[in-house]
Amino acid sequence: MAKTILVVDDSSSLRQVVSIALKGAGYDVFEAADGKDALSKLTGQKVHLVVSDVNMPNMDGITFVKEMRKLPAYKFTPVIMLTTENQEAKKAEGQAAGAKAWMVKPFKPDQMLMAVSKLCLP
Amino acid sequence: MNIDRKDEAGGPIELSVQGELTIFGAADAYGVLTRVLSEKRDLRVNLSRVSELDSSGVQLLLAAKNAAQRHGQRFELVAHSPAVLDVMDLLQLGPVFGDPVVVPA
Amino acid sequence: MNLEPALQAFFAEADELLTRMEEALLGLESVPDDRELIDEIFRAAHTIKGTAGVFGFDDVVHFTHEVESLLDRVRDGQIAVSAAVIGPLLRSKDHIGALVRAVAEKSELSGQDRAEGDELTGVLLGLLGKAPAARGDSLVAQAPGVPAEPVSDAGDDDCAGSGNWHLSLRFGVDVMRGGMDPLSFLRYLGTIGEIVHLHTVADALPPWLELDPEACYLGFEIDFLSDASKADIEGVFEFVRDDCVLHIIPPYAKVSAYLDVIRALPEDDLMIGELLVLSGALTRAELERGLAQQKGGSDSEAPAGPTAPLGEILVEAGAVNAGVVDAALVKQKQVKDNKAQEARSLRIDADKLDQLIELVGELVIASAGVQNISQTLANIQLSEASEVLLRLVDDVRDQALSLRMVQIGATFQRFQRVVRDVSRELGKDIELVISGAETELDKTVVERIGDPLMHLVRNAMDHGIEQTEVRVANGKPARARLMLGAQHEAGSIVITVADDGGGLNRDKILRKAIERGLVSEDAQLTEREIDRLIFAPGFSTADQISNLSGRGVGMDVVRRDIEALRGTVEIDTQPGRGTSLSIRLPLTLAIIDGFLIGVGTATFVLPVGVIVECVELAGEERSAARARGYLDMRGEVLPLLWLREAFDMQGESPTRRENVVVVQFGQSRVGIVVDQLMGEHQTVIRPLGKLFSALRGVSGSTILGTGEIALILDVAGLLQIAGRNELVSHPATRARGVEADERSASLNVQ
Repeated sequence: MAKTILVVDDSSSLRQVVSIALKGAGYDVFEAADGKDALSKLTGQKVHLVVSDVNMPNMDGITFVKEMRKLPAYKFTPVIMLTTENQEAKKAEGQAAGAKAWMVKPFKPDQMLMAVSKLCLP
Repeated sequence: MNIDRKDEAGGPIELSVQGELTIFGAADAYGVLTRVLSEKRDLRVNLSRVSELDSSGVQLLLAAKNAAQRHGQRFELVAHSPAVLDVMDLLQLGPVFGDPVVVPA
Repeated sequence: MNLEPALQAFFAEADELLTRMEEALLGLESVPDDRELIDEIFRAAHTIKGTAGVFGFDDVVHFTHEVESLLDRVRDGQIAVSAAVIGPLLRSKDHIGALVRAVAEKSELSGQDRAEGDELTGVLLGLLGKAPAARGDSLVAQAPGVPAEPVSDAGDDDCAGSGNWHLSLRFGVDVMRGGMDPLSFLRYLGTIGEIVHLHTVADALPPWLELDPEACYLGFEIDFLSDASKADIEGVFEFVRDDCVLHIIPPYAKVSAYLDVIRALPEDDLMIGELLVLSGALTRAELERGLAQQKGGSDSEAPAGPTAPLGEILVEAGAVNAGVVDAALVKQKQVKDNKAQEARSLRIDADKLDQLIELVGELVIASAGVQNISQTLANIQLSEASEVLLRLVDDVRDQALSLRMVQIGATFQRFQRVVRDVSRELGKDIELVISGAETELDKTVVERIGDPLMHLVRNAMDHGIEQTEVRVANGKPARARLMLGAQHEAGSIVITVADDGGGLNRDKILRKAIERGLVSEDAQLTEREIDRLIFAPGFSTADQISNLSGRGVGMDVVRRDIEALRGTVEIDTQPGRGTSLSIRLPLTLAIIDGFLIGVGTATFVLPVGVIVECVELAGEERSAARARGYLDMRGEVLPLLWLREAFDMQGESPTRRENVVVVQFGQSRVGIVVDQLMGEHQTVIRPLGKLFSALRGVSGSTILGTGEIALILDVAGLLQIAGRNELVSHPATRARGVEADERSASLNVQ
């Protein structure tokens, strides 16, 4: 059974690139445009990994992870946060919220695939 | 995750784990095992319906085995599901648990 | 990976973001401290930069990076919003637009735009209060430092000669709580090399009642065989770098050789350090730590002293070795070559490939239809055109099928580990020798051959290869050899599992077969027939049921798995010398070159690859063959199979003559007697439904150009039917078990 990944980013083209790369590798992918949208789509189904941008309108990535961790079904779901390099403070805050894996934007689709594979192989 | 319990007269308690034995259910599984271990009887854990096993599940089984053996009880794992075998193989845990493992040919 | 739709989305999105950015900047002119506006502007720049980077638009990334930095300062309140800031930001927005347009139109930036960009960069840097400087983007956060002290009991001695990396891993208590499962990293590690040995360290587990089930107490000692660089191996654990203790000892860790190389080099140590980082022998983290140790040498514990060359410090810290230097340089080149190779290949969705193959199949059928019509019409121009079409369709078919071909090597490699583990378990010394790893075959076949191979390999190790003492007593080398090989042979691929063990014990097999009622006691079986008994259902010779093979799942399952792939399996065994099992499989499951034959009004297809020749059967020879059941082919006996009878078909055979198609599969030959020969035909195989799965002698169906349906004959199945005829005609050699099995799954034979 394919592993399911949620991709949260306000850039639809970035979501598309990530989706295409991940689907091509055999993952099931569903997308959300921001933290709020993502929470509304987490309805208890099994999600193996979340890839989320930090900076998003409506609800940012860190708040999203904090909220997500309150849901029993996603208390321990691994998260890869996407960030730019000068966000060390954010990173500390995010790690405290339970987002351990960080990835610096920009990245190539292959790099994303590699990062994802480290946490869950297709 | 769900753990069923079956008592055999004169035999071991058989626990049957169903679903994922992962960090998500680790606290629950720990609770069940703590109760069962306190009865100080031989234990058999049927893993045939385990759909997923992660590190927390592995260490829970390892710790439970240690605990049972410390009190002189048997602790055996039986009917490993493919998901369990996969992890046992990756971590080369066969000799650690020492249970006969039936590999589906 | 087709990124075109995503690319178009990016251009549209960038446009929209820039428009919003402009609106927000203009709004900011009247309300300078509106946080939401500032956030929105920042986000726009941030998103464009992040996404542009994914597509590799470096110019957009570099410029937008500076804009983003400035906005970051504005957001933090370090730089106040004023006309002096808004002006350049508006111009920057325009310039980002120009940069994006340039990549969208795949054009160069105009000279004017380039000058504007340079000037703006200067202004932005001025506002940021820094001089223009080179900046490198890095994906992997630099490692904060690897513990320098070697982990005790790490088994350095083993590594010295082994060529394996040694990884010593201890995970932090909070790893799992953060969603990181140590298992996932180990699984990934397994994809960049081979985990030769892994020891799970659970010593840190507290007594049960003190256990926190969500905390992590695990550690691992791993022997790892891989061409990956040290940085790659460290990279596997990048997400838990701060939460684990990782120590990596490279292969062939011989310190003295390394020192010699360092001393022989005239360059200064920093340069050597850089060189080592480049070659992959050393990671930057270790280099930096080494440098720090060199600088602060007086108060550090570096045994080499404050002025010691970097190399020595690294060696003392156990971080690097010399063997790696040369090897790493060579390897680096290989990696580069591989990368270049990869860049020329595309990753394709397997489903899309299957769709393509399916369409090509339809195309093949359609073009056969065209050819049929053109033959009927006998129009020369049409015939020529259809010939050309046919040839092209042929090429397209071959190309499409080749897309599905993969090398069997990866499947073989998996057995290294199996052989290693099982031989250890059995107390036997077994070496696995692989040949023909580059042989290609259909992906589906590769996927489905794994299980049967596993069984054969385990069987060979368990039953085939003798205990070491027995081998030595028999004058054989103590170390046994298990050979896994693959090669192409006449339209098939032959996979061989061979051992140099004791060979099949025919007496024992026969005895067991009689015991189980598989053959009658007075049966006179040939050696080959005895050997084949191991494939009979419910047959196992294991005296003791070990936990490897002999667990009730017999070789008959292996045989059935292989036959399901339209393959056969042959045994060749020599007492005392070893056993070799050859699995013969079709190269692909989708399309074959077929040969049409007719019986009555029905049409059948035989794979061309199995046909040796066709001969006419008429006159006296025909009646003689009819009576004897075989044909004298240049002095050799060729058993015949009348297809009409084998399939219990209605109608009389033609009065004047019949045709014999001589087919060969593996070592057996048989003549199939049919009414007519109808020539070659590209055959797209359609599987038969479940209903027909027990049918022996037929492997699938196909649609002819005329729209008629033809059954594809399964040669292996036919050979068995023919073989049984032979047995039936010589009652003395009757083998009951094998026969009973085959009858249950086959059609009636007259």
